[in-house]
Amino acid sequence: MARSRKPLLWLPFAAGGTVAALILPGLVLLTLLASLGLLPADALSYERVNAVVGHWAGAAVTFAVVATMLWHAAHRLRMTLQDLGVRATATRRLTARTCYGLAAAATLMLAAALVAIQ
Amino acid sequence: MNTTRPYVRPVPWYWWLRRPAYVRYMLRELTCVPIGAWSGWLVYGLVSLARGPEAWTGFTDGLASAPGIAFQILVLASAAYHAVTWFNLAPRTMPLRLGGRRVPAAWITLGHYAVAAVVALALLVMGVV
Repeated sequence: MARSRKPLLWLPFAAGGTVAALILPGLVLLTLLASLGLLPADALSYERVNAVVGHWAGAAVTFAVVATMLWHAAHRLRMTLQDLGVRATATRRLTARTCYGLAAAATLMLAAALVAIQ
Repeated sequence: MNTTRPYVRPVPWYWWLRRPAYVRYMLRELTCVPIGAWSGWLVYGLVSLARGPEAWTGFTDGLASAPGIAFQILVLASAAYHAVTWFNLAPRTMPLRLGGRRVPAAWITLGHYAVAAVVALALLVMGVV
């Protein structure tokens, strides 16, 4: 029986979708309220964020949250482009490479930044 | 070699405008655009954090600018709509059995809402305390 590679893509998609649903609203609420000046001025200060992300546990959680959201968005965007009429084999391949390529590049930059912060 | 060429009925790209349910589906799928852009923006923020305090201040100044705030409102709306649709589907995508019994769908959905609320509260507390 031919093996599908789909489960490999489905796992980060489902994980990222769950992360985006459970964590992202609270995260953006935090940055938005801080940006509007509705939280104490040091809510997003360098020292505060550095203390969280500079700890290995904070870095691990940050990596898991951001990376799965990136892959969730990449996979869903690729599927939506197909829904919007990207059906020819060549353009499908191009959109797949662009979506996953951007997610892969961002994941590498994320990992490099988190390692540098430690 | 397969030489058959099955007929594919042409579908215009705006097919989803025909029914409100299709429009809601397309809106749900398109939440991935602001969510993906925001995730990329967060990567840029973490790269700024790694560069030092000045670069980080540049990043938070960008968040506090008018386009930054407009973008975050869009991301918040997208994340909220994504969350509502994701939680409503959760009983079907993640059915749960406890002690041989099916957990009622409403419990699974409400449980997700509760976790999201606790996470939001915890993050806000982290920003305030």
